[in-house]
Amino acid sequence: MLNENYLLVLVLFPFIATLIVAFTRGNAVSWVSISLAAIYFVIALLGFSVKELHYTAVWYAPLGLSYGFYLDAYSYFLILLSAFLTLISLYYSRGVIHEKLAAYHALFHALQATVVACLLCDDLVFFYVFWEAMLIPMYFIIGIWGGPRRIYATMKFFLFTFAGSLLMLIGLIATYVMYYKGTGQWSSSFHSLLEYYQAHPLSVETQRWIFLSFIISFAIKVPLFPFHTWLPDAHVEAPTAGSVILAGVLLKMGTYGLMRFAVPLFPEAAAHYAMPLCLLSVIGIILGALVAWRQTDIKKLIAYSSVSHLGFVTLGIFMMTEIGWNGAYLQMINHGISTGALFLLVGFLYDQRHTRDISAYGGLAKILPAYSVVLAIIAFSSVALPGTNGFIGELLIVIGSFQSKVASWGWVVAASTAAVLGAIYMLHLVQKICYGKNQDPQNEQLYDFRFREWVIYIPLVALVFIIGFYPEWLLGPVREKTMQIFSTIPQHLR
Amino acid sequence: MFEQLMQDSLLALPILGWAGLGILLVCLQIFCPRPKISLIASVIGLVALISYSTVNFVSVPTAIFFGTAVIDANAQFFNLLGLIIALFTVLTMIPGMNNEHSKVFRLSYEQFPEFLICLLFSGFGLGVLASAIDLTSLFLGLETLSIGIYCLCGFYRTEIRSTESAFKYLMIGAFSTAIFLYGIAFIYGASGATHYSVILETFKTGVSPLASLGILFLLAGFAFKLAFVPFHLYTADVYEGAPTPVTGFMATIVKVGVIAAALRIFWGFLQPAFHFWEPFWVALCLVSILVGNIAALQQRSIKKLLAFSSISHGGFLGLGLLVANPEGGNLFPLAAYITIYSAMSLGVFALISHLENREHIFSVEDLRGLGNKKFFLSLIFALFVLGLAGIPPFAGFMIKFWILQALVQQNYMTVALIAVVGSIIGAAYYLRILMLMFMSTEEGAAAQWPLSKDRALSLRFVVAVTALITLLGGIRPSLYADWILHALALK
Repeated sequence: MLNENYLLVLVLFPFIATLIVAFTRGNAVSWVSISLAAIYFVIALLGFSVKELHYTAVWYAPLGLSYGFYLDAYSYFLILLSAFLTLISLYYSRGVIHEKLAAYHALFHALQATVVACLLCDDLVFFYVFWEAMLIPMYFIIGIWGGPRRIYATMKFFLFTFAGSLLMLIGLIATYVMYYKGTGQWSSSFHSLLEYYQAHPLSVETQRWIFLSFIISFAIKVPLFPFHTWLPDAHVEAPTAGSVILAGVLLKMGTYGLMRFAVPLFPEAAAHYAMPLCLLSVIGIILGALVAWRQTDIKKLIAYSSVSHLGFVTLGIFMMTEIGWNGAYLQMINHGISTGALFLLVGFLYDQRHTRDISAYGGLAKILPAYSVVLAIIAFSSVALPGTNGFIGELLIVIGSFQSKVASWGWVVAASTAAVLGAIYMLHLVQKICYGKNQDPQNEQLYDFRFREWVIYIPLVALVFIIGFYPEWLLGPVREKTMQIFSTIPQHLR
Repeated sequence: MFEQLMQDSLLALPILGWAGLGILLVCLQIFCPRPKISLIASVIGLVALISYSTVNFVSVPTAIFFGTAVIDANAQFFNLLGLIIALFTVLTMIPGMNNEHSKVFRLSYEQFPEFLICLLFSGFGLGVLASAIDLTSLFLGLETLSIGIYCLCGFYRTEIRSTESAFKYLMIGAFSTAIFLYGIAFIYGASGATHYSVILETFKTGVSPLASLGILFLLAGFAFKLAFVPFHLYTADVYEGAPTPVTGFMATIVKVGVIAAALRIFWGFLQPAFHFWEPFWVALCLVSILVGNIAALQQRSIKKLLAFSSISHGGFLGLGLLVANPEGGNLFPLAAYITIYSAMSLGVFALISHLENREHIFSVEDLRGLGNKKFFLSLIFALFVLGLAGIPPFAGFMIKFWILQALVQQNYMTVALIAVVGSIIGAAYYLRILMLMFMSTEEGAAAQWPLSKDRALSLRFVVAVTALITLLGGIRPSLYADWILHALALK
């Protein structure tokens, strides 16, 4: 039904939207921007039935540069998530952000544009270009509309991720040059590289250090312990919508990079490093949970919970089993939904009270009944209670790990005990905010959900249960894709 | 013989044109000493030379003037680049001359023809440098290029900083020339010739210790001119004091000329001694990249910051030279790097000269809050800064990418890695500029300095062209790569 031109529309639309929004003035900005985001979401929805689309074109012939876009289940659902979260966060920002509105909205569209381009790229060089370009809008979003320590946070965010990606650049160039040395022609297309490296695997030594250069970059982005320290700062200082996109979409780029590029290209190296990487993931899970427990700032708590959740995702990836990968992918989407929602919920309180201190709130269940219910549902989803989306994802990762040939299932057992810690800090948060006694008279003045909030939270809560009870619409295509990727991984590793 | 000379002159017209134009301006000074007329004459002359050399491209390398120079793709390419740089510098300088707010500018206005003459003669030096195939003509070219620039640096003669800059550059320049000449003398002593091809023949049979010493001195001489660490100490002060358009001119044209000459020498008669000079050169480049970027972190003045940034870019250029090995190497990364780097530098210095006020040192802090006041200008400034930092999708990234790719291809893994580490450090100070411009709520001095009433159309033209190259060069390399490949006859 849809042909390759659909890919071009997917890639180009956000760029055009950025330009349109940037040159809109006055009160129209919000609505123009939100409608564009809505149109884009609809365009993204249209691709649901598409299984696979490929588009290639010559970029610059004399140097053998070409570019290509490739859509499959792995990229599709993340694009959908990105379009959905961008729409919601822009809608949320209406009435919250007043300064430099056009620039704010334009930067979000630019972020969307780079994210989508990065997800769709079938070309290592282009992937890298957009991977880095993604940092620029986020740098400005945090730096201009952020909290009091925004400059420190945004510099740290940029320099951490930039350092990691430049190291990846060397590995990436090496992959690309070795293909040239082997075949005599230049190509950075991921598919031709993959085909070539399957037929002629690199020596284990070479694989290992190239894989390491990739891992450093992706691990910083995810973030994997001990590279996670930029995340809490960036989250705390970012404006709410920025946090939503950062947690919901940008962190996923790291795990996506692992599943799409690093592991399929260098399976031997991935297996070799499975042990230490699983260890780091588990440390991340436990440490993230413990640190989250002790936070007094709600946003920081959620930021550390992200470290913990993404540890689960990377654990699922490094265990290298099909089921684990399905679970990891699902968990990426789940984390986007639940953490995005949590940040929005914090924003709702912060916009009214201008504090994120847990102790400032209490007994909100009486004052804000609707809010408390939604918060509880999202918290359950984050804890992975059966019936919510989180449960399916974590379950798949745990089941998958028992078949792993590269790492012991003991890691997952350790990680699962940490899931209990997750329940502790999340329920601790809900309990402190919604129950107990209200100590602060200011809380009496809070207003509950209005039309605007319902528009935001109904789809989010619906998604929690839709994925929780019927994940097949998402898992089906993902499973097929995973099977396809695993068919390329040597038998003794999967 | 006369016929031969005429024929050679015709071939070398784009190079001799510099000198011709310069002499024309000198004559104009006698008969019609008006700045405006000189200005018009030089702009028309430069445009004519640029169009002439783009149209009349000599594809067969031809030795001219009794074998002292050669007209080939490299010579024409680098000369053309120099012509464009000179034109852009003149166009950047024009609005500054009309700035009624600055005494310094007003006092210098009457001397504007001298500025143009120095500029043209130093450009002539570049042409000679790019085409030299004999150590004597090489030396002449290098000196002509430098002497013109000494004068240009001190152009604001009523201003102490400008004079200081000129004097420092003169002293260091003389010193480096002496070292360079020393190297030439040793090489001559070892080989008995000054012509590249003869030296190559003798070097093929072996490099004597005397010749090795000569090579080292030659390397040091080049390192001085390219401002490589540890020969860079003059750079910051000279860049700071010189008139800003001249800073842009120096930062680009000296690199163009020296790289053009070094290309011929390193991959000419020094090729047999490759394993001797390679480690020295690599070390110089890497130290420049690292030290340049680290020192830039500490700079208060924006021009000094850019001076250190240009040192680190010089290091990358040196690496580009390393991979331009005619056997199995590739000249393209180097040519692309110098072209795009020149565009970005000229653009950023043009913007600074538009904003600056010579009465104060332009500190980085002055940029505070500029984004709120002059948004569009700041946006373009940001574009150049992101380009210089090498952040995709701008052109500055692609040129670094090509250099790194060539390095990896020739198995310089560690070198590529260290160069990348330098770039990571570099990102910090480039980002600081962006941060001050866009994220600060206070208003710095730059936002308050009165701008010239002149609408600065010529400067706008320069900024627009260089900004377009920076913006689109990463996404559409065909814009300039076609031209480079064509000019270097690589296609």
